[in-house]
Amino acid sequence: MKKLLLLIVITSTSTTAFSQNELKSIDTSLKKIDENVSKLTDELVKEKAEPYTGQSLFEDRKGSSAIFFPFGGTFRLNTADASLKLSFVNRVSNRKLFYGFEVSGKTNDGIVSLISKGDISPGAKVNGIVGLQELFHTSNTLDGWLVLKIGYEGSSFKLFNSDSSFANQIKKTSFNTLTSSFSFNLKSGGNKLFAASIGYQKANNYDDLDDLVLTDKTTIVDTTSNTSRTFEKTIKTKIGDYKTFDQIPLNLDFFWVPNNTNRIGIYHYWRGKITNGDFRNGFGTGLYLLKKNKPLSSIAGVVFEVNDISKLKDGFGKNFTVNFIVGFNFGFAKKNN
Amino acid sequence: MAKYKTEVSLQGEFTTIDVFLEGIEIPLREVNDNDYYKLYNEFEIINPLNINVRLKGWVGMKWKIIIKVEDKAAYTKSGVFDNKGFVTFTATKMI
Repeated sequence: MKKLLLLIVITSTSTTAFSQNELKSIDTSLKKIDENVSKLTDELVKEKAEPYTGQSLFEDRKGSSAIFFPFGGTFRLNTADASLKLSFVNRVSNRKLFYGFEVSGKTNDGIVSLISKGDISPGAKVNGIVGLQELFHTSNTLDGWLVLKIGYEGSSFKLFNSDSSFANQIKKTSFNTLTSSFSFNLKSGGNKLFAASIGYQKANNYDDLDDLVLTDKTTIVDTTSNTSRTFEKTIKTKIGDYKTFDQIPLNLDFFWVPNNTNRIGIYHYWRGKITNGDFRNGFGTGLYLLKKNKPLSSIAGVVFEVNDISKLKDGFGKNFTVNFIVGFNFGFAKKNN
Repeated sequence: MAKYKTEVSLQGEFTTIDVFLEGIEIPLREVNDNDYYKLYNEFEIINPLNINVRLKGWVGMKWKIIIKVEDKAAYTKSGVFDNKGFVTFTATKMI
């Protein structure tokens, strides 16, 4: 019994000692690897990747805004109009002019169609940007800049007309237009920004048309085996009187951060559209959670919008939209010598 | 009067940037988000180096300026914009 107890004690002691030495050795090796990787990183990359943020996230349901921040770039997803947008601005501090671009892609059928089916109506926008900065250079309170955007917008979708011959009932339609807008941004103090813009573009009534899902059924009969095979094809279309028209969009935006609450941003906007002499307008208010120490970048926002004031009498629910906007940042490493 | 390799980097987001060294405005380009940067290989400095900075930004935004002379940090200053969104200061530094 004594021998057995002695054997257990010796075995336990030696196992513990071995384990501790081995673990210490592994720990030391890992630390050395970590040091070497850190040295290698310092040699190869002078500065670590920074989040790449800054462009305006303050937009309405359609992605429109008179607010434009002349900084860096961003990559953002707007869930309301199912669009992805990439923007970049090149700006030098002692030059009045700055320039940049915006590229966005979207589906006309909303983000659900992107996720659920591949059957989408694609659209794209490209904008060239030229701006004039530091309009109130000598003022210690005011700051302002002008921005001119000229671009191209195109989309493709299918329209259904039951009066046409069977082969021509589904018509693939393209919509293309040159777009332009001119905006003025005025910053007062460190927490208030007012912006106004006017533009011109062609527009269509795609959003006002009714959705229609068609199902084409085809049957193939094999005479040899006397077997029939049936398959279905689903086609998403719009039905109604499709029209294009000239449009002058007018935008007013006001973004402010309440005193002593640097993490909350409040955004009000008004949208007017003059279309063939007809005037429509709507408004909205957004609430944003801002990043700490980066108050012009929002983590997320929720926007409440009345699309058309004149239609409010038809029912509040039909003209009221809640839009969630989420910003995604991307980064890159740079090597400056 | 001697020529020194001088580097200025400014971090933050600004609507107005005026950085003057020896009375000359330094052109700063945004090379990465929150990072304005310019390198002068040969820059004449009459000791002491005169620094004049005027910035406009957004409340809560951090800012930082670093001036390196001959690859050594000669001057560093940082802060956070208040509700006024405006910062200005002058400094002198013996090189």
